This record gives sequence, structure tokens and C-alpha cells, in this order.
Amino acid sequence: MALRTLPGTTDRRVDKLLTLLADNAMIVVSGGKIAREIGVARSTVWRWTQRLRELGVKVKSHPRTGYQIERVPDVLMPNMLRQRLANTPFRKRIYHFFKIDSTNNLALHLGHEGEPHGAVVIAEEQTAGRGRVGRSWHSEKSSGIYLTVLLRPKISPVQAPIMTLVAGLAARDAVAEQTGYQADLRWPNDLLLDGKKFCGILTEMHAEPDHVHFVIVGIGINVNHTRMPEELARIATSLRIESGRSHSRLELLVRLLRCLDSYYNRFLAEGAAPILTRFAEVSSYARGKRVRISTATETYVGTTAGLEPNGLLRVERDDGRMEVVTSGDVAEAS
Amino acid sequence: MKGKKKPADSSDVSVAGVDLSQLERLLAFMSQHGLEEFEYSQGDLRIRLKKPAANSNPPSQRPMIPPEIVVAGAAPSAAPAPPMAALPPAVPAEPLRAEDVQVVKSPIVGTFYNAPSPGAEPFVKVGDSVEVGQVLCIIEAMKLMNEIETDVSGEVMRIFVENAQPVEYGEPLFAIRPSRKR
Repeated sequence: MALRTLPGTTDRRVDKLLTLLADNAMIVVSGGKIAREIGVARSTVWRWTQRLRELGVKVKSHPRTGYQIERVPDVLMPNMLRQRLANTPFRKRIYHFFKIDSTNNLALHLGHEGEPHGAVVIAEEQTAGRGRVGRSWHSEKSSGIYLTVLLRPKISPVQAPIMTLVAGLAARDAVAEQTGYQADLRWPNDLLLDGKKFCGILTEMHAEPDHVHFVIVGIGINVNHTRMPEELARIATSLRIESGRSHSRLELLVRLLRCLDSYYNRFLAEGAAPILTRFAEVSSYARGKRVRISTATETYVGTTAGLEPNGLLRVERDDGRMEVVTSGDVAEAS
Repeated sequence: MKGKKKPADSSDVSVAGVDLSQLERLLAFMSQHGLEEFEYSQGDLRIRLKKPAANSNPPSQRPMIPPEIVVAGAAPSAAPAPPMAALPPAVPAEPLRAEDVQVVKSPIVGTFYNAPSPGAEPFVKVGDSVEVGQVLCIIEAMKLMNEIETDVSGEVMRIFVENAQPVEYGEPLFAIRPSRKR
């Protein structure tokens, strides 16, 4: 199945332009040569170079001689990713957008259209990033990773919720590899540093009672945000705010997709058990945590008491009653 | 019961609050007296039973046709309104027969949402026409949002679950009556 050309996808020739500049980082490449190689007019090369600069790519223009890239840029272009994703299902079908409403929306659409397993949707900016129950996800331009992957696991829908733990663990390990920070996981899959959220995951499924058509996993990571909007600053953070330095989104994204591939294969081969074990190892929320649970219908306080075999969270209320949390907000209770 | 088999599919029909053994006694009474149709009311409960009309098909090919069962005025106390009351009044007590209705069931244990976000318009209401692939609701488990779609076009006859309520695996969510034209 050929890669679709979708309205709004980044022109693949922009990708070529960037690759060309990055591959020739030491030399000045003439505008005419670039134009010939990627098959556009010189004025278009100039316009696209402007576009890349807006994304933070440092491109020097030399009058009369051409263009030179000053350093290999931290943009999430398909070519740059593909080279680093060998032996994963994610290297073949990468859709990149400078701006999109929501990567999940597009991935849902692709899923319904029969897009194969492993498709990846990435955006530099989301105008309507989504969270649970109609909430939004702050998606500042070129500061974060806004990613959705499409998976077609051959599992029963009953097992599918474990996929949310799979995604959370993958993001946690990728961040640990990249930054050295051991983030906490708040059930089922919020990533926290210093008690503040910097990564959110929204998983959506299309299934029949006995058959999963597809699952899309949307992952938002606040990477290089220098500050969070005032209304979020108390509860949200970024890797840059926590560490005081910026991080390569490209490298983090590659690690994320590789970790996701690895946990996903483990889940398919061995089932939920190793995923639950790993979650219990790295999440302070798995057991013995005082939490406030808010569902659509009630709020209560209790202490977490491990996960059910299907991944649901057990919470013992103060009066001794055991609750099994299916969905809702989990917050640390003082 | 004089060797007469109990209709196998009768449990698929929602018989809100009605004792099944009571229905079985009535069915036995019908066959005993060779009745084709029978109506019974007690207080606000009204039951109408009708045996399938004799047709040309040999009985061996259609042995399991359930009798048509209509129950009115006996809504379970938990439901906000009697299910039949939600039907358009122009169609008085239209029967809901098991073979006419497609029941959409939950593929996972989760929380039922009738709208994309709190306070938003519900995806569908009783009486709405729906098309194949139209989203009926969302079931959430562990931040996995499962959009439930209808695989038939037709009319939403019942919604069995209220917003934000937990549902079990396989629990009926909607009854859809497929439109005649396929």
C-alpha cells in the first residue's frame, strides 16, 4: 500500500531539502543545485528554507553561493527518523505535519481507511491536541513530541487496556535512556517528574467484541518548553524545566518508538504478566499510595493495593472496602 | 408442558421486571387451548403474546421462532422512563422482536459515555436513525477509549445504559432495529 498524500502533510521535498542540507553540513550548497535535486524552483527553495528556520533549523544563506546548515537540526522529519528506526514496524509509513488539529484524529481516520500496522503520525504543532473526556493537550510548536502510532494487534479487546501500560512504560524507559531521569508512572500512564505531569497518553481503539481492528496510541511529551502556561504550571512541567537544559526531540522520539516496539512485542509474546511486573517496579502508584480517585460519578480516598491481572487498579478505601478502578482521575492524596 | 419446547430465544427480549416463569405458564396456557394470540393485563402491566403465524416453511427449518412478546408499563425502577414510553406515540406499543433487533454489546469492561465530552450532545438518542459506522458511544477502560459503532443502519430502539455508568464485558448497550432496505 502506497504512502498516502494527505492534505496538510509536509511536502516530501521539504524533507529532501533538509536531508540534503544535513548530509552536506560542511559545505555551501548552491540554490540552483538544491532546486535541481529536489525538483522545484529556486524561489521555492528560498521559501522552504524560511519555513525550516521557523522550526529552529539554523540555515545560513550565502549570497550568490547558496545555503549551509549550521548544525543537524532537531526536527522530526521522516527521512531523519527512518534512518534510525531499522528493524521496527515504524520506519515505513511516517506522516509528518508542521501543523495539525490532532495526530490522534488523523490516525483514527487512517485506521478506518485501512492503513497498515506501524503507521506513525508526527506533528510539530497541534491546534487541538486531545486528552481524556474532551480535555485538551497543550502542544506548543516544535517544543514537544506529538506522536500517534497505529497498531493492529491480534489480541482480544479484553486484553487491549494493557496497551496503555505498554505505552506508558515505553515512554518512561525512553526518557530514562535519554535524560537519566527516572520518571514516576501514575496509573495508568501519566509520566511525572517531581509530581508534575510532562507526558500524557491517549489510546483509542476500534474493535468488535471478539476482534480488535486497530489501536492508536497518542503520546504527548513536553520536552523543550521553557515554561508552561500559567494555568498548567502547578500540575505540568517539561524535561527542560526539570533538567535546566534542552534535549534532542529526534533522539527521544527514536528511543520512544524503539522502546514501544520492544514492550509491545513482549506483551504479544508473553501476555500481561511482565508488563504488570514492570509497572509495579517503576510506579509509586502501584501499591501503598494514598490516592484520591475521581470517577464520573464519585470521588473517594484510599490506598492503592496493586493491579488486577487485567491491569485495573485496586484501591482499598479507608473503611476497608476494596474498589477496582476502571477509569477516572487518580491523584496523590495528602 | 406436553412436550412443547421452551422458545430458546425468549431471553434475548427485554422483559422488564416480568417473571419469566409467569410468561412460561401463559405460553403453556396458550398452546393448551390452541390460542394464536393472548393479551393479559394486571394493574399497569400489560402482556401480549402472539404465536408466529403458520407459514409455508416446513417447521424443521424454522423451529426456534420465538413468540412475539410485548411488555408495557413494567419498567424497571432504576430506569428513568419506561422504555416503551420513549417510542413515538404514533406507533402504539410496537413490538420489539428479538429477530428484528440488533443488540450492540460492550467489547470490554469499562465506563460508558454517551457523548464525546461531559455536557456535549449525546452521540445518539432513542428514535435516532443511524448509519453503518456511526459512533454510538465510548467505553473507557484505563484511558483506552473505545468508540462503539453500529454495524447496521437503522433506528435506535433502546439505550440500556446511562451515561458514566460501568459496563461489563458483553453487556447490551443499544438495541438497533435495522432498516428494511439493505
